[in-house]
Amino acid sequence: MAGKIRGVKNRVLWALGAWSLSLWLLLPDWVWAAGEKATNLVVVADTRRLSGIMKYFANLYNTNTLLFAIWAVVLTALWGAILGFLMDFLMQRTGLDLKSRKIVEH
Amino acid sequence: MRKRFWMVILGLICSLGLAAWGTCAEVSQGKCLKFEEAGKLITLEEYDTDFSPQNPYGRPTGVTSVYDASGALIGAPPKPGDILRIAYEVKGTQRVALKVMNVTRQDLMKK
Repeated sequence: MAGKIRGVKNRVLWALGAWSLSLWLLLPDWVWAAGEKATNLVVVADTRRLSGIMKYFANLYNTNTLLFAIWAVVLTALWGAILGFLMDFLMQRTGLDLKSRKIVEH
Repeated sequence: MRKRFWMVILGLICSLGLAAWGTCAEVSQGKCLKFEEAGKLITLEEYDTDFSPQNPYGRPTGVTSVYDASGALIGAPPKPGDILRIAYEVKGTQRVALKVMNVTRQDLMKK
């Protein structure tokens, strides 16, 4: 008798677990269904009045997003290096030499 | 060491410039007159670049063009009367759209 009750209990627990899991999985679907159907956000850069380097980058954005992203990474790294060198130079002028740091704490 | 670093940077920039060689697209903006859903053909009335508070998207030129947008990346679906901005390539006598921006429905200036 006790075994039978335990079996029913187990089945109820499994059913509850499965039901909770399906609720959890379906939740995003219900939330999405509540709003309007989303569309792609496509942006075209207007190159008609641009020239030089600005036209180059705007054109790249329109035609080759991957290359544009690579450029963004390269320019960010380059800008970081320039700022680093500039800061080194300024710190050197103040008398702080950051290139040869001696451990004075010990 | 520093010379080598700058040479690498210069080389990278040159190769990026060369990689972009030949990627060139025209852009046009105007009012959508017709959009054929089946063939993805867009008929556009071209606007010029004479922007003003009265004509924030340019003035109508009266010139109409047809764009093949079958392989293009399209944002919000165009409807007649919408202002569209299209990046396209000219292949023979055909204008092949690469990207279609629905300016009316996703105007970034309004945000």
